[in-house]
Amino acid sequence: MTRLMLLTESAVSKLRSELEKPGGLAGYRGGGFTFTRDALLPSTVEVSDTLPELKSAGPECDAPSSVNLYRWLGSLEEVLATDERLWAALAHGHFAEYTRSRWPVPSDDSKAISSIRSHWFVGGGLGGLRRNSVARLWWAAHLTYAPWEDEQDGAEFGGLKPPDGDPFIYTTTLFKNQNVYQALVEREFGSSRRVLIAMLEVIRRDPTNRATDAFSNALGKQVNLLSAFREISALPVATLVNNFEALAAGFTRNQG
Amino acid sequence: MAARPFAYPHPVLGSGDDVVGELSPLNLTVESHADRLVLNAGPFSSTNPTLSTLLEQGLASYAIRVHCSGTYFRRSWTSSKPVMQIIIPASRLVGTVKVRLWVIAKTLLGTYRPQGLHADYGETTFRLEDCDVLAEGEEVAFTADKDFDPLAGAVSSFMRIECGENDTGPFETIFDQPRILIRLPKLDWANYQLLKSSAPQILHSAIVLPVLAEAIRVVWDRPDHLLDLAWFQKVDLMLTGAGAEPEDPLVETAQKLLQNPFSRAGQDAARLVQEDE
Repeated sequence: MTRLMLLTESAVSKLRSELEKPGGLAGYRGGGFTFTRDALLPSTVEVSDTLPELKSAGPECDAPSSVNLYRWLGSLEEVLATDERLWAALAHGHFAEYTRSRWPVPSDDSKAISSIRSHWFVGGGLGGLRRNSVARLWWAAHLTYAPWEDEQDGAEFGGLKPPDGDPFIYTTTLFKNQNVYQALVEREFGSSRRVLIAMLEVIRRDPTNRATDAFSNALGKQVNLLSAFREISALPVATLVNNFEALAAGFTRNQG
Repeated sequence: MAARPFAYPHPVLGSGDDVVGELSPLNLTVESHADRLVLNAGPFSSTNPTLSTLLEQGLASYAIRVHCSGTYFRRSWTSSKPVMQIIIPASRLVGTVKVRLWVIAKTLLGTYRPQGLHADYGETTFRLEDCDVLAEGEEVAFTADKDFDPLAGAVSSFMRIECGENDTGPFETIFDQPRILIRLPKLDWANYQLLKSSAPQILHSAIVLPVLAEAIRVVWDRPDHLLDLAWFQKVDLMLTGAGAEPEDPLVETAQKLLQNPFSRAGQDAARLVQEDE
């Protein structure tokens, strides 16, 4: 086991400011980054010396990469997992090659800067964590990991536990389609674990027809409307699943 | 830009002039502890007789939603009682946290028609389902400060070292603030800055270890005026986690919490010596 080293706030700030300087993109387009001792900060997070395998062949690799990363980093505290020093350090350090490969840096410099800010750093709001190459993988797993083990609501999710007990069943569902992550997690109601898992359960039941752009967009819109006049995060999980199934049936009828 | 008012599909107290009456303010107070936030809200009340009756009969309830966009935290608590206490782990909230009060249906209300309904609704009745909003209450935002830096290691999250006023002499320790404050003499400050970047572990033995030992003694003494301070609660939690007892030697306990700092200081010192050679 080894203690994870982070970038200091000033090191992150320096990296960001150097982006627009001549030659500032070189490290992102190839090679790598080396940091002086005072740019690094020992964290309280201990990880295995063996890095997890993060495949970058395409979006279909995100689910296994997410699972591998979560197993390696573990269940960090949420406040810690919003910290840019952590994710920028991992994107520029251990997973620089992965980040470069999964999110290729555009040849146009201004587009390159925009892409690097999104995937190598953490911008503002929920979108920032969703776009960072490493943070998005960890948060996807964290938000969906074995809901039946949830300290407060675990019993309510008990009925959703699959026979094989796969704790990452909803992580896999979340990455079935790139739009599902955006349509569900990046909306305010998606921060409610009950609502998010209930929506993913509905998609999991028929991934061929439901893990699609059209379905996830439609479901996201309908749940958004519903949440405006109903406090859906106070509803039992079973009721949410039934409500969302009814919405899904409505989409099918309209398509027919 | 002001938010566009939302048109509910049914009459809601607090939404324009749909229904006559008021919902009381949230009356929120937030207590920040090292490991948790305690939100106390209420007492609440409604001046609309229909809502008051539904609340008394358990057919409606108060609901408080806590939403922290920084950590993907969104959760609602319901209660028929007019006061609520909500405890949330401090690790789950950072930055702006929004808290909102509602009154919601707790069952199917097949023919809902509150007293004081606006005349435009005529004789219409409404079918409401479980958790449909009956009244919009106040929304309050507070900031969940990251008093303790979770990435900076356990110690620097509750100790702060700064340059003092004296040129020379012993460093000062101040325990009656949220973080333990250590003030170094000006002439030592420059050396501290040098060590901080080149051999930080030496500082653990030279400064942090004795201060932590003193802090542990303070925690065991439990003086009333320090009990609520964040550093006190953090050290208390660390002592509990380490299974330490008041009768244990202070310096040994401090070394245990710091995971044997001299071993690391020795490594830093040896490296500096080798670099000089």
